[in-house]
Amino acid sequence: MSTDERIDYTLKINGKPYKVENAFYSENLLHVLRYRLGLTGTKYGCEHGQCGACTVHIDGKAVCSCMELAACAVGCEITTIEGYNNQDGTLNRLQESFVKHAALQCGYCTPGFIMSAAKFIEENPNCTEDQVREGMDGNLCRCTGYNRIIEAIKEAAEVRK
Amino acid sequence: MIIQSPFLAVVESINEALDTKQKRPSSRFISGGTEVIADQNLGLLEPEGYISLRRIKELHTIEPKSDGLYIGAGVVVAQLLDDKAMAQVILLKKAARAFGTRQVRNRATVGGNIASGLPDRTLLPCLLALEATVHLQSAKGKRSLPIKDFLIEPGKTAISKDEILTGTTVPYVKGFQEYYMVGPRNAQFFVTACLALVVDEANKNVRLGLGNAGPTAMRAKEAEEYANNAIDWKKQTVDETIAIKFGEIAAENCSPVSDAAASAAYRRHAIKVMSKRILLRAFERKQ
Ligand SMILES: Cc1cc2nc3c(=O)[nH]c(=O)nc-3n(C[C@H](O)[C@H](O)[C@H](O)COP(=O)(O)OP(=O)(O)OC[C@H]3O[C@@H](n4cnc5c(N)ncnc54)[C@H](O)[C@@H]3O)c2cc1C
Ligand code: FES
Ligand code: FES
Repeated sequence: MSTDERIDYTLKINGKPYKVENAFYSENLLHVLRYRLGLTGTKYGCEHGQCGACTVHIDGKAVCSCMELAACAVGCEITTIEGYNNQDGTLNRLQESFVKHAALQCGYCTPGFIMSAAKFIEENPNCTEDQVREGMDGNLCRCTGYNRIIEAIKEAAEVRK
Repeated sequence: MIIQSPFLAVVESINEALDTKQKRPSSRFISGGTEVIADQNLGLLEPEGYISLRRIKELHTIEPKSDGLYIGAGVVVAQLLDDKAMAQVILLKKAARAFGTRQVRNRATVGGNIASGLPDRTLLPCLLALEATVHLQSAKGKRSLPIKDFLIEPGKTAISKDEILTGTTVPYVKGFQEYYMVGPRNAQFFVTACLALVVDEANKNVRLGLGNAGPTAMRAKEAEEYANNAIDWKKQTVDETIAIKFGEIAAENCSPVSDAAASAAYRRHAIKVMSKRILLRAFERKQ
């Protein structure tokens, strides 16, 4: 690859600027987050949009960071699980609800589920259980069998009301 | 232009995009990236430069016009679900619900779906049944053509290398519209086979678009012709024998492939059953 294929840019992640230097133009955001910026809370699963482990928010929308060209996110507000977490290390309502309902086993899918569910609840404050099930169609979990996750999200949505 | 590097351009207007493409013909247009970047990640395509169309505001409009609803190429599938104007083209709204995942719908564009030209794409059988028009633009000018002339063979469309798909116009059709699919599961996977039915009450005809039932998305012309004659338009009824025959003709005249997801025979069977059910459904409400 030629040096032409490398670029420098700045991403705004969790409210802070992050310089990305000498990166290939074709690198996806998931890769840049994890391996260039050390933000490893966003998980690497399938790398083609099916598992949702890599879900982040870009300009207020839940999207898969694995299918996003990192450089195309210049000028956008990016939020990862690190930015969504309470900064004092305590758990927020949605996360507490996941703990209460034992909605995780290995936990690998959890950051993606949390990021996806957070937006879903925000966009659908009066959701029914069926809507939660349909709304979480972009995230896979190999451990829990989903019911506990759905319960956790449903309860978090109800508490929020 | 937001980014202007030798291999990546993030442009803000159609003209900038066309200019950049002329200077770097090997670069690929990219909108949502849900096809291109997924393929790149899987090693299915070697990138030779990208021109990102996402920041072109003029591609993002949904606008009711006299000849139909204009939908810009940059409109994402989530907008098809949410935008109020979509109530006028209910078929696309219904199909959008069966499309990808929430994350994918936030990124996947109408333009990217049409431009791929692949037989399993959700919107193509719908646009065929609605007799939509596709709008293209190059440095030489603009042209528009019916979606049926746009789809040529799997992955090959009438778009030339220096053209951008700018949008589609979807005529308003009064009458029943519905989309059915079968697939490994409701979300996330491509359809095994799908179809879209439009009943044009004003012109007394039905139009059936088929997805993943041949080399490109296609219209089930023979089945349509049979139904148009067999339907009692005055009473607005269809009895079951007509619907069964409709399904059989649609299945006989399609040419699906066998692949890892399903055999050709299964797809044909799915088309037969879904065609029957959708026609019955279209007319049951009237009885
Ligand atoms: C998990 C997952 C699930 C999916 N589910 C579905 C589904 O249910 N149904 C379905 O139909 N598809 C599905 N897809 C495929 C894909 O998301 C859609 O086809 C989508 O509409 C592509 O749009 P895009 O903007 O992301 O395209 P891109 O990846 O940006 O581009 C796709 C192709 O179109 C070209 N292109 C894009 N915009 C233009 C333009 N304006 N002018 C000219 N050429 C252009 C590109 O050069 C490229 O060749 C899925 C993909 C994933 C990853
Ligand atoms: S890693 Fe992005 S969806 Fe699986
Ligand atoms: S908890 Fe292990 S994949 Fe979901």
